[in-house]
Amino acid sequence: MQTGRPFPQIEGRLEDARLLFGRGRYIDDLPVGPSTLHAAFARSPYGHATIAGINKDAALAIDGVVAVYTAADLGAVLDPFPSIVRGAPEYRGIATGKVRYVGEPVAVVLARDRYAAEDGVSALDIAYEALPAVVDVDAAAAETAPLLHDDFGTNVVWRNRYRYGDPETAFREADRIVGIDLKFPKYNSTPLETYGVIAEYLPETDGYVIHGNFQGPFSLMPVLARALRVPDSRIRMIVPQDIGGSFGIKAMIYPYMGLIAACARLAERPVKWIEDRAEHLLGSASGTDRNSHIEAAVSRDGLVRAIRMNIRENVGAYLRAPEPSCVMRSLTTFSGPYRIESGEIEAACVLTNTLPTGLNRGYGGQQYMFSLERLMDAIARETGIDRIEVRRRNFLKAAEFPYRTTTGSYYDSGDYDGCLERALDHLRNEGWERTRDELRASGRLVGIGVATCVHSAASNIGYVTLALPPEERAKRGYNAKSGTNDFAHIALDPSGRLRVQIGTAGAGQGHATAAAQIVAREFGLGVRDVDVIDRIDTETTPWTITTGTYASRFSVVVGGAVQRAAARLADHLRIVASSLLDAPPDQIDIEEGMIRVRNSNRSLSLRQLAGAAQWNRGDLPDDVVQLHVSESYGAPNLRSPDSENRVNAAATYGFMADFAMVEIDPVTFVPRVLKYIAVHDVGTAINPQLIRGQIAGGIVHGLGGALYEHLDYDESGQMMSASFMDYLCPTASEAPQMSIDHFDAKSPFTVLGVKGCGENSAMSAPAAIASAVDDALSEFNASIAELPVTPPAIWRQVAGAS
Amino acid sequence: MKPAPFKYIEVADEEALTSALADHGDDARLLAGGQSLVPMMNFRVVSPEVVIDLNRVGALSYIDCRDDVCRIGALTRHAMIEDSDPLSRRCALLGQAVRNVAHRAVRNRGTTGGTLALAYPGAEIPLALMTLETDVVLRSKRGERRLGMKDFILGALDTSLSGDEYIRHVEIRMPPPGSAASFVETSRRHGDFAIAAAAVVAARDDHGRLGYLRAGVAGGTGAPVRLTALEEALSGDDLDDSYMADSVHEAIAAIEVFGDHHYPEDFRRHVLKGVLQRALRDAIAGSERRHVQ
Amino acid sequence: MFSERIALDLKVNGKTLSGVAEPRTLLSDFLRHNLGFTGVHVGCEHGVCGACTVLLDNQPVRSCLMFAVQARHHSITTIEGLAKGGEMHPVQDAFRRHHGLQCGFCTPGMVLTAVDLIQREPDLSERSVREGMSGNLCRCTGYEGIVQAVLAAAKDLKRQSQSNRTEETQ
Repeated sequence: MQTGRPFPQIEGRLEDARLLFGRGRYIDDLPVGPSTLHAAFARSPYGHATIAGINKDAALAIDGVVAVYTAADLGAVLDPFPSIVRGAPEYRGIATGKVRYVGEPVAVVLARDRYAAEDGVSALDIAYEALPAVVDVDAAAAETAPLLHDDFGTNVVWRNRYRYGDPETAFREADRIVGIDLKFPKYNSTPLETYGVIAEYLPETDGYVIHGNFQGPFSLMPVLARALRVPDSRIRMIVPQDIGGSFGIKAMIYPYMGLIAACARLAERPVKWIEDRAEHLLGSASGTDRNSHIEAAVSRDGLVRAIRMNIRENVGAYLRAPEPSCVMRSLTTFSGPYRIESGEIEAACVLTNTLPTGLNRGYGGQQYMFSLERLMDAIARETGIDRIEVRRRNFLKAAEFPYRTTTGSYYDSGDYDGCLERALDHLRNEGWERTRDELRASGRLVGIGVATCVHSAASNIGYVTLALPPEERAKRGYNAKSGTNDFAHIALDPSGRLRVQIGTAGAGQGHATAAAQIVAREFGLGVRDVDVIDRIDTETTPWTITTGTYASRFSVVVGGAVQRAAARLADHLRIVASSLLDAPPDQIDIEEGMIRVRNSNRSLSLRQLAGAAQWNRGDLPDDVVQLHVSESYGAPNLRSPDSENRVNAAATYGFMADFAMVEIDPVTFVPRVLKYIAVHDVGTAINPQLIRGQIAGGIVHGLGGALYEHLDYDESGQMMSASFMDYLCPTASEAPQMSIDHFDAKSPFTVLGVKGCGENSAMSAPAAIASAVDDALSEFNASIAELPVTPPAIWRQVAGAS
Repeated sequence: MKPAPFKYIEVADEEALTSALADHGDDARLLAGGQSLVPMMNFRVVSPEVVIDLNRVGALSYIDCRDDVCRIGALTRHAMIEDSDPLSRRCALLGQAVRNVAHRAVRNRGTTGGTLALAYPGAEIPLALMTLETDVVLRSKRGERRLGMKDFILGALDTSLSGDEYIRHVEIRMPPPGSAASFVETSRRHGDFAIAAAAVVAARDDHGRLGYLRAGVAGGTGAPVRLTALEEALSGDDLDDSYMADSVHEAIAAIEVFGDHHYPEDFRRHVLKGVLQRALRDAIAGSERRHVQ
Repeated sequence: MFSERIALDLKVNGKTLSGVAEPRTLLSDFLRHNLGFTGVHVGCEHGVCGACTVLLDNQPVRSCLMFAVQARHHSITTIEGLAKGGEMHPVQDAFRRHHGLQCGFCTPGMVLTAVDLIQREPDLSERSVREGMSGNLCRCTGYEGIVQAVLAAAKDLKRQSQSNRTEETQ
């Protein structure tokens, strides 16, 4: 294995040309057959109501409309989607008897084109009887709250309690207890491309072909198959070559895949649905909003011995797979980068009349890091210890790795002090403190904030089962879950060109380029000498139930598989070459595309070797190996949870040191992030440009959640930001100047030493920015405990103080 | 988000436009820039039976500044105003205002007539026109009429335009030469609708005193508001900061301000005062600089 | 009466192409589905995200806010029409070099907006780039690569026009 060599680099990426020429192939670009029908959904205008009646007549009379289906029709071929939590209220993806959130699908209209389908939707006569709604998570958990699912008897759909170490003693012996109450908001990453599904039913095999911009995890495929009443193997899932952003949100397309597939079956024609932006904001998915209380048992020196936390998590109107995984990062990495050896966490998932939740870039990371980092700032304030110093005192030290946390997470490596120091170097070199002081002297409100966080990447599917009590997992017949795995295939084609096949369901992260770099390094080639096919068609692409692009897993899992495949192919080439060059394989080197016998001038090009193996295979010895290799890779150290709810949540653990500089207009209270520093340990860097791009994108997602983006419901359940005019995505003007740097504390466990990169500052930026706002408003003793930080919110802090 | 079906009528001159409006008036919407109408149609918030496209009525697209008056045709694109040298010299307020309207791609299509007919609360161009002295000229088959801005925009999304009428042009009385303008807007993001906006134009008389002052605000006020009492209070002699602040406070306290889910009334009042104060300071200081020159 | 269809000839990327549409057919949909220019992307259909930006008579407009029938008297450039003979326009090349794209969905609109911005303001600062591009949303790049790309392209184009002028005077 060529671990010594650097990865070859190119300017830009292999993917760029087609995208820049406008030749991307996204779901809506795929040609469809002439019999294809186009779907549009009628969606609930009420947050909570009984459906009194649906009259299809006028809709069916519209020119071009072919069919109208409701839950009653679809129920003939579509069952509820199974949940991780047994006995959870039924979730069918379409309202049954009742609507429970604004935007919930109530009926589907199929027509010759989308325009006619929407005409059909407008003509549908649906009668509702409004019911009281509840959108606040604490209000919904109260006994007197309106019930979303009458049979279930409560809106608290899941709760559990986790205890690690000895929190009672730690709190009893604490020199002080610092506690805060926090609210984290509901928002979405709004990929610019919306959901799209094209589905067809195959009566000859009782199976389905589904095209969809689905990013995985493919553990959701069995969920879909069960709902569609077919074995897993009878869904052929095809992901388009290009996806216009996913960010976790495109994991939650699966209910729509089920609905559209069911429509195709009933209509006996292929059906295509492209979600529009209004639908996306109301009816796709979002991260959870969370009310929490977090407190720390703190020593005189600011050392945190234990954490106690109470989480009330709003999962929206239904608990749908993979929830309640949204709370798992708050358990498995509750200690963050700190040496916190005890903890007690109570978590409850509550149903409200809002959009159901799911993965959203960071998936529970940002909610938790906001809590922990706000708590560290609070500890600093109450003890008088500097914010950065108090973090340093609690940091795990480089010599302690690999480090097993009290929750079972196995932190592979880290040098938190070193990484933070590099971030501070940037801060000093750029004169941040001087800039802040100068701006303050001229009357402006400016602050600097910090967040130091651990980034768990390449998640262990086993963590999902923490949702079940240990007794449940101990039962006979229970099937444990663990691991994260993927495949790669590599071949030397007849002309001597290397071709890699992977299936990632990526959305612009540059997977093909990175895979090409890994392979090119192994063979001493240029990046453009390697062809990469990144495609998922479950009929032909090997896949696992952990396949997909999420949890920042690509470089660890797929990268690992690609490296292994490349190394094994190189071994095979040496074996074949040894026959042709009459030298033992261990005397044969592969560099710059040539296969040479060491200390001799006997050599072959890849082309010659491929030619011999293809055209003259018969003259080679019988046991010569094939020139294609399939390799799988499963990240190590990933077991299922034990009886104490301990589990290693992820394959690797990176680290982020983030600083934000925020200015607040002293009159209008409009906040702006002026500058941002992010120094992240992502282990080995395959492609620094791609890493910087991921970190930059995450910063703006985090900034969006901190200041601008909010899926905001009023008390009656109406969504107040139902278009891009009210749901405010940051533009280039709101994005800060960024200094992004990389710190390498290679993972000793992953094949390439990589640690995964993708979510990053989407998780840490809300905390860093809140910290900066506190600093900017320090003269008012501000303490941001709620996001987004809007001008009226700031004004209330300031007006409250004066 | 696709619009409902409609009958499409394209008109190439004012006569055809007048006829089409007379025939379809109440069932029709005029399509100019489409930057507000088409989103509403795509959301099916409005679904007119007839759409009259007047984009080919070239006679309505012009900027004509002479003597003391600037006439701007209703079909004049915002981008044309943005790029107009004569306007930026004689009527800087309008140029400053238009730069706050959304983004260039929107300004390439959006029109003066369109933004006036919509009267979106907080819109920049209506605020600028309300602040200067502007007449709006309307035409229909029944004839032509002229209204002052205050009689044209009645409230948020509410104008005097009848179903069979269209806006021909606006006539703006130019501020005196040597005037300085300041348009200050606060919004969440660059190009967003204003939370609060203030427009001020100031000029000194021969004795260096503030002889000309026009001030207006928008954003939570329904229609944009010209603050004539404030103009009187501040005209004339030297102004000290606390007198200015008090006058601003009084002026905003006297107008009707509407809060909503996103921005409560008291917050809006506070921000209106802030932007107004900034605009006054800038324009008054600017007028001094221009006077000295 | 309402679903009457209109035969349309549109001039796109220098060629006159024909199709049939309802009056309500959005220009974005007509370009994509009737004429096959799938490089025009649809992100919001209410004029905010800018993904659907095309050049109308060389000026950027949101194609989701026009009806196809309105485009009859104009000439349209989509992203597909920017590169000449397979060779990237300097703005496209700058986006490639500076990692100004990830998923590529906002890219056609971004690039066309940048082409116009640089043409109107050859001397761009970082701030004026950020403001000038603020009508196009990107969710992937954090705008870093985009801002760098536009600044670089502005420099490249300025150098190119200076050397063209030098050539002309020689």
